[in-house]
Amino acid sequence: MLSLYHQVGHNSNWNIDSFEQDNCGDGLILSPVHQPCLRVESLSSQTKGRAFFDPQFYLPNSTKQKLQTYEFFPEVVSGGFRTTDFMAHAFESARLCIDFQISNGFDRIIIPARYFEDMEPTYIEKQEAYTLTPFLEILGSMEIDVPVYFTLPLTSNMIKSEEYRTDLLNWLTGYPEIDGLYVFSYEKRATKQVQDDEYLYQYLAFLHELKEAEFELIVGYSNTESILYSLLGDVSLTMGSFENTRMFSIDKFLVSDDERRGPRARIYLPGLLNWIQFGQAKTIMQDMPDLWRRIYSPTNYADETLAAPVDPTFNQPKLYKHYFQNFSSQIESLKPLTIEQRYNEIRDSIRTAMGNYEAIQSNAFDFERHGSMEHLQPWLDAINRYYRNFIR
Amino acid sequence: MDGYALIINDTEDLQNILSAHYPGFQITGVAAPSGQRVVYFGTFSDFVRQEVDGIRSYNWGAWGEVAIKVSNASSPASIARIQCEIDALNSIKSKYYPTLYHHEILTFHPTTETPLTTKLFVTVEEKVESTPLSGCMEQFADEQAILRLLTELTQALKILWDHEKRYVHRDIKPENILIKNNGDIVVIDLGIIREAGSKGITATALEYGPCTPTYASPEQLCNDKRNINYKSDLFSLGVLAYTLLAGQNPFFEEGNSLEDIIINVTSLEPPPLCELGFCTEGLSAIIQKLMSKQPFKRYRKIESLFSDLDGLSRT
Repeated sequence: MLSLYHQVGHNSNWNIDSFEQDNCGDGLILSPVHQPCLRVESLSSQTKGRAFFDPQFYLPNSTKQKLQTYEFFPEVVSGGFRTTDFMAHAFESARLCIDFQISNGFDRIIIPARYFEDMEPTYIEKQEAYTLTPFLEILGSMEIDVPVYFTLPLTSNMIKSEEYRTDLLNWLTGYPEIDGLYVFSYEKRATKQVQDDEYLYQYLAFLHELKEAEFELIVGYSNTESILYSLLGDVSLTMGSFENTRMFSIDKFLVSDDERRGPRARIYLPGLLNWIQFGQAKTIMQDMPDLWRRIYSPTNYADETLAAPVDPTFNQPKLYKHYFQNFSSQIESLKPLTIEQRYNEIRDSIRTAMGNYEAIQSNAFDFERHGSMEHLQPWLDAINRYYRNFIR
Repeated sequence: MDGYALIINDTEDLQNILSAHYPGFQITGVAAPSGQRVVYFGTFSDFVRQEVDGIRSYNWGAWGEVAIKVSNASSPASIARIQCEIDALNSIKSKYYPTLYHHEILTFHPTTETPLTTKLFVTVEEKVESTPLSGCMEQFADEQAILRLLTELTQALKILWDHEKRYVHRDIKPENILIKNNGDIVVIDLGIIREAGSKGITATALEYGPCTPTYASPEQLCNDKRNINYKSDLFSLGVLAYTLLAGQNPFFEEGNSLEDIIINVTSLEPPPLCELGFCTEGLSAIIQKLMSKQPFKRYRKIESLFSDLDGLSRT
């Protein structure tokens, strides 16, 4: 079944409130870099039963404070992570991590993985030694009744390389005991939306092969392009609040003293399939009310924010909760459709969004760079190509 | 086969060594030469033997007919390989594999008590009353027989694949499948069994790993060790089924050189059996999937293979 998970991030209570109170999404992906151990353990058993825990071993020597609250985190279990020494602690770390996931009653077990920035030539060997082999060996000696997933952190270069992709596929499909994969990909880009149609197509094609190999899939760390992945059939998609939950970056696992200036607040407009700077959105609402009705799906959160005398900042929850509601509705409407119908629906939505953009722009209005329609044609190209090669 | 192991031949001297070491053993036959070892058939009567710690009784008469396999044990690699087979047979007690009764290494001549120039690894196994599939292939040329055979073989091999050491047989071919009189199958010759994805016991002088090239998977012939796992056996099952239905190996024609075979296995897409009129589309699709060049395109979940085979059996 198609489902939607919250990629929990900073201010995790926004996701939890949205899930528990607004009934947005089908579950939560809990995040130790944002949630200390006690916070995770204190969630209700009902919520934990519809959540899974991403152990986030991506940067094993991370000294982020919240990660340090987990006894199994590599930096903690080995008293200061060093690649050469970790092998002595890998099984202990795996055992503690599995025990934690089982005792909390999450809906699946996640085997963590390390993140590699580039086309790491020993990716497979390292993932096996670091986590996969220890975890599978321990899980093999246990009787568990929840599915086992392996984390697959990738980069766009890995996905665009046919040889690398094939190696990954041959490797992963040699593990019949793994039920599913928690996949995500880092794409180095200067835009907030994915605009590389080749990357999107190859990612879809790669995920398709994984589906064909009978893996259940969670496609993590996605922005609104997540909607395109519904063409894969029964997969789990994700939605997040801050950008670092909508596109993967190792930066959030680094301890940094840099004061980063917060971005401007944005609002998600489903009729444009994009996040628009709040000020620009408000201008469209005021100056082009007919067009506004075509692009905006009202929620109480957004209505209140738009009516407020002071514009919001990026670190206030309402616009994210508005996004969760809007995006959940969009995914919900795709659930009953066949893949062919989803393709037609998404294609129509993209074309409609392009039409909406053009209509707005014809009224002497220009979107700033990240709010523009530049992502839409690549999205259309990617799904059309995917349709021709895999659906039709 | 592995280019390093020295082949043992049936000689009078070897028979004398065995008769002297096992006074109760009566040789009744010798298997046709295959691989690197000699296989004798025969029966034991109970016997006694002087050992270092005194006289010991051996009540081996109860075993009935046995197969004694004699291999070269002169190199660490060959010993390790045989030991691997023994470990596997000892840990997978199943009707699909012969029972292993005994094994040892002979280093001294039992009569002259001089060191043997070639150390001998001897295993004593149950002799399975049967016909090798290679001797009755025509009985498996119809769809229902193939479905039953594939199901049985998959059940047999799954025991290896599910083993904690993730064994791979690596040499599935008609000669290594025995058909009992009641139709049950027994898989033999775990001589090149290995753990999935392992680096292997020894480097091989050949460009491809140990296998029978006409039934081996592309990854075996490319010596792509990391990708040699249960899916390599699935490929061989596909080739076996194709051969039985078509009456001809899909990757071999008279006059083909080894190089031709390797090229065929790694790049030739045999025509689907259904297009040749040998079976239904359903079975043809299963066999094509088993014979996919890329391992990732073969079955990952064996339950799905069972389900597909079962679905066809019911139609």
